[in-house]
Amino acid sequence: MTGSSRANRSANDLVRHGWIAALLIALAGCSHSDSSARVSPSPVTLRLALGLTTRDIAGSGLRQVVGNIAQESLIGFSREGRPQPRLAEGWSVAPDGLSVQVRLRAGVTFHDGRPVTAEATRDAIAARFKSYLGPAFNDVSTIRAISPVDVELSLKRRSTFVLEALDVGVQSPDTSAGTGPFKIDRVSDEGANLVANDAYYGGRPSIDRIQVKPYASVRAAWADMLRGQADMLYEVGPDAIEILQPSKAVRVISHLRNYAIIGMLNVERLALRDRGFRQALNTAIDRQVLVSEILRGHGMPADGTVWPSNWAYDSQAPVFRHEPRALGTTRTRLTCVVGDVALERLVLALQQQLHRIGVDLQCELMPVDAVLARVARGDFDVFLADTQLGPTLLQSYRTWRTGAPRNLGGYSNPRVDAALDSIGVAANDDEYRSGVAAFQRAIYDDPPAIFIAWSERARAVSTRFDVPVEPGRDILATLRLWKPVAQPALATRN
Amino acid sequence: MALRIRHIATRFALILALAAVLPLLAYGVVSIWSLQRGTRESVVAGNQNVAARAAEEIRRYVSSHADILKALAAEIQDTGLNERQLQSVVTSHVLQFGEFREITLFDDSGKVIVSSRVGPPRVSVPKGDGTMFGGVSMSPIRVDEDLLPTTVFSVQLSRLNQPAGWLVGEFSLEEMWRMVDQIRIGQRGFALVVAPDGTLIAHGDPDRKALIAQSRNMKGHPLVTSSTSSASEAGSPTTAEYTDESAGPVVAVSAPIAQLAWTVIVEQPTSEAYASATALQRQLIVAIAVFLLSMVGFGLLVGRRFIAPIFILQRGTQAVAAGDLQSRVQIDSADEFGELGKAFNAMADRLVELQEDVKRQERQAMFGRVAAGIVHDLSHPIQNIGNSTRLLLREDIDAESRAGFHQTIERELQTLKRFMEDLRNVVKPRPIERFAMDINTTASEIVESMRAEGERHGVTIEADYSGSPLMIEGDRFALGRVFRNLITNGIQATAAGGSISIVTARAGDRAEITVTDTGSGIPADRLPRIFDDYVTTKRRGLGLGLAISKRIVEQLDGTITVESEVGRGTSFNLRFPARDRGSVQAAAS
Repeated sequence: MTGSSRANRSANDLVRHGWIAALLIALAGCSHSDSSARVSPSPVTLRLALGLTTRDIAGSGLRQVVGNIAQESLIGFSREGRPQPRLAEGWSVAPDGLSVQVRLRAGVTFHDGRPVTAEATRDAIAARFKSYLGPAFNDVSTIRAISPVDVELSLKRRSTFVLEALDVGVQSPDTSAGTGPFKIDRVSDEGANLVANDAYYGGRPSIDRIQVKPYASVRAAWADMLRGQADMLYEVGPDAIEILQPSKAVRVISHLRNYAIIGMLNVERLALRDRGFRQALNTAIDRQVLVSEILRGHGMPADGTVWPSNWAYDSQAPVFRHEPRALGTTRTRLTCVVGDVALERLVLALQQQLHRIGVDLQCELMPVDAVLARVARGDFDVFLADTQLGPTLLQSYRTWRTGAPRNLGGYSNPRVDAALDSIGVAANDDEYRSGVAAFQRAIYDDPPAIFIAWSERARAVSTRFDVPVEPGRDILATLRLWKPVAQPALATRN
Repeated sequence: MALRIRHIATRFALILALAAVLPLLAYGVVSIWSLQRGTRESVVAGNQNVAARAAEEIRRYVSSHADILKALAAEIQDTGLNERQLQSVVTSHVLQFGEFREITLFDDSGKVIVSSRVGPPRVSVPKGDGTMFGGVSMSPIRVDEDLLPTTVFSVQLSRLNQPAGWLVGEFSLEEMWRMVDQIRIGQRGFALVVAPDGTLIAHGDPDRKALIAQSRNMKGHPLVTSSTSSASEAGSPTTAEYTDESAGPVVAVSAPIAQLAWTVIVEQPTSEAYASATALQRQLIVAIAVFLLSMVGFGLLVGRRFIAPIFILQRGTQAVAAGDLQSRVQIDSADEFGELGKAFNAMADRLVELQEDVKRQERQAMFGRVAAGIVHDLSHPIQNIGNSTRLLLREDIDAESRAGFHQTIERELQTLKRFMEDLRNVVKPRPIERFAMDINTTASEIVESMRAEGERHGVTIEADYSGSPLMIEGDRFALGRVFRNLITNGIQATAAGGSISIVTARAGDRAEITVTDTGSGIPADRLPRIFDDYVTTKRRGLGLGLAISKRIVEQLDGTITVESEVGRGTSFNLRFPARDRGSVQAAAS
C-alpha cells in the first residue's frame, strides 16, 4: 500500500468514525432529552431529626429550632464575640456612645414579601429589647427609623450591651415572618416544613426543603437516622458520637458551644446564701472527670462564667479548681430540677462528687415546662441546665445581673453588677477588658451557680450533603451553602 | 483408524507438548487448586479462631457485667445498707460501669426501693422469660421505645433463704457495639452478633449499624440457622460462603455463645480474604503461562533447528531425484546430521561422476557402434564395388559377367546411397510431404519389391490388404522407406523358412498396418529403446532405421508400437488417422 492510498484510507476511516460518533451522540442526546422530558428533578429535601430533651407541650424546642433557621439577626457575633454584619450591613457608635446607628442591607424582604425597612426593624427591636436586655434596656432612650434603611438607637448612657443585643432576630411585624434563607411553610407539634427562600439576599439555597421531625429522645432520633429516615441529626449525644463517626454514610461535626452546663443556684435558699458554701460546691466538682467520663471528652471544663474564647477573657482571673473539702459533719440536702434527660448521667456524677463533701443532691427529671414552673416559683435549690453564656458578655449580663431576665436564682451582687455595668459603659477595648476581668473575679468570689462544663454540640449529616465546615462554628450557620452531592442517574421506569 | 501425523514438525511439537507442556499444565492446575483449597481452609480456620475468640470475649464481657450486678446484689443483700446508701451504691455502679444505663432495686412486691435513674425507672421485675446464667437472668433481647435492641439483667435477692427483691439493670447493648466494632478481619471483615430469635444485636460495620436500627432479623441467615440447630455443640463454629447484599461474596464463620445462646458471625469479603491467594494464583498463572510460552517457543526454536537438517536433506534429495545433480546441502552441525549432510553431498558428487562416466561410456559406445556400423555397412559395399571395378578393368571378363559386375556396382552404390540418405535423414530429416494416398498401394509396391530379397533369404513375405482403399494423408516415399525398413529388419531377423506378414486394416478412424515376422525376437529389456537412434540388435548397421521410421510415422500424426517375444518373432503396428475419400479429395484440392 502506497503512502497516498494509506493516507486516503485513514481519512476515510476518520470520516466514517466521525459520522458514527455523531450519530451516537445524537442518539444519546435524544434519549437524554427524552428521559429529562419525562422525569423532572425531584426537590432536594433535608430531613432533620430533632431529638427533644423532653416532650414539650408548646413544642418550644421544635419551634425554637425552626425559628433559628428561619430568622436572621441584625448583627451576628463571632466565636470571639466580635460583631459581624447580617441584616445590618454596617453600624456606627457615636463618639460619646449615646447613639448607635444601624444601616440595613438594601433589597432584603421578609418571607411574607414585605421589605425589611427601618420602621420594621425599629419595631422588631423595640418589641424584643426590653425582655432581652433586662436592666440594660433602661439605657435606651429612643429607637427610631431615621431613613428607609437606617435605625438609630439613642441611649441615655453608653451601652455596649445595646450593640450586643442587636443579635436578636428580626421578624415581620404582622406575620412574624423571618428573613432567613429558609421560610416556614408549616409548623406543628408533629413537625415543621421549611422551604427555600428564593429571594434571599445571599442567594437561594441549594436545598429546596427542610422537614423537621421531633423525636422523644436524642437516642430515638439517631436510631432513625441509622435507619436512613433522616439526613441530619440536630444533636448527637456523646454516647452516639462514637457509633456514628466511623460510618461512611454519616459525617459527625462537632463544635464547642458558648453554652455551659451549670447548676444555677437559688441563692434565696438558706443553705445557698453562704457564698463560701457555693464556692465549696464549685470546688467539689472534678470537671475534668465529668468531661472525660460523662461527656466522653465532648466538652470543656467550665471553671467560670465567661466564655473562654471571648476576646476580653482574662486568663489570669481566678477559676474554680477541683479542691473538694468537707462541709462539716452535717449533710446538706439540695434539691435539683433537671429538664434534659441527656444530663442524667451528669446528675449522677454530680451527686457522687457532692456526696463526698457532704451534700446530697436530690434531682428530679421532669418536663421542661414543669421545670420552668418550679424554677419560676423558686421551688428548687439547683436548676441544672445548658445555658448560653457567650459569645458576648451580654449573656452573662442577662443571667447574673440583678433583675436580669435569666437570673432565675435571685442572684444579686453589687460587685458583679458594677463589673457588668463597667463592661456596658466601656468606651474602648481596654475598658471592656478591665470590666470583664473584674466580673470574672467577682463571680469567683461569689458564684451564682455550679459551673460544670462548656458543652460541645455534635451534629450528624448524611454524606448525601456537602457541608462547609468552619472551625468552631455551628454547621447550621452555613445551612444555605449546603449542597447535595451528585448522585448517579437513576434508570427511568420506561 | 489410527491417527497418522505426517509431518515431523507436528510430531516433534506433540512430543514436546506431551513431554513438557502437559506436565507443566498439570502442575499448574494442581498447584492452583491446592492453593485455593489451602487458602480457603486457612482463611476459614483463621476466621474461626477470630470468631471463637470474639465469642469468648463477648461472653466474658456480658457475663462480667452480669457478675458485676451479682456482686452488687450480694453487697446489697448482705450488708444491710439504708436507702441513701443503696442509692449511692447503685449510682456509683451506673457511673462506674457505663454499660448499665440504669440499675434499680425492687422489693419483693415489685416496688422500687432505689434507682439510679433521676426519673422513673424504665426496668421492671422480670417475668421469668429470661436466660439464666450464673445466677443472673438475662431478658430476651427486645426493642425499646427508641426502636433499638436492649436487654435487662436481673438478680433475685434473698434473705434468710426467702426472696427479698430484685436487682435489675438495663444493659446498654450500644456499649457492647464498641467492643464488636474492634473486631476486625483485614480491612473489610466485621463481626456481628445475633440473638437466638434472629434479632441483630451488634454489627461491627459502621455503615451497617442501620440494620440494627431497622430491627433486621437474621433468622434466615445460613449460619444463624446452622448455629442454632447445633447449639448443643457449643464452640463448634460453622462456615459458609454466600453473597451479602452490600458486601458481595463473603466467607463467614460463626461461633455460638452458649451461655447466652447468641451467635457471633465473622464475615469477610472473599475478595479480601482470598486476596493473597488470588494474587499468588495470578502470579502462578502468569508464571506458568510465561514458562509454557517460553517452553513452547524454545521448543519450537530448538525443534526447528533440530529438524531443519532433515528438511534440508529432504529438499536436497528431492532436487537430486528431480534431476538436479548439482544440488548440495549445507548442514553445519557437528553431529550425525552434519555427517549425513556430508554423506549426502558426497553421494551427489559421486552420482555426478557416475553420470559423467555413463555418458562418456555411452558416447564411446555409441561412437564405437556408429563407427563400427559405418565401417561395417560401408566396407561391404565398398569392397564389392572395389572388387567389381577391378574385375571390370580386366580384359578377360565376358560381357555377361561384365554386366553382372555393373549391376553389383549399381546395387552397392544404391546401398551406399541409402546409407548416406539414412545418415542425412538423421542429421537433417527430409521434409514430409502430405498427399492423399492409399496405404494398400504403397505397401503392395514395397512388398512386391522386397519379395525377391525375401526369397533369397528363405523368408516368405505375405500380405493381407484391407478390402477397400485405406486412405491417409501421407508421404508415399517416406512411408515406403518405413515399410521397406520394417520388412528388411524382419528378413534380417528371420531365419530361413520363416515368414513376414503385412496386414492393413481400418480400425475405427485409424488406418492400421501390422508387420509381423517369425524371427528371433527382441529381448524385453531392449524393447523400450528399440526406436532410439543408434540402437540395434543386429551385428551390423547404425541402428537408425527404426528411429527414422518412428520419426516419419510421428510426423504423419501416426503411432508405431512393437511387440516381441524372443524366439517367436516381432510385430510392428503402425496407426495413422484415416481419411475418407471425400475429405482427402477436398484436402488435395
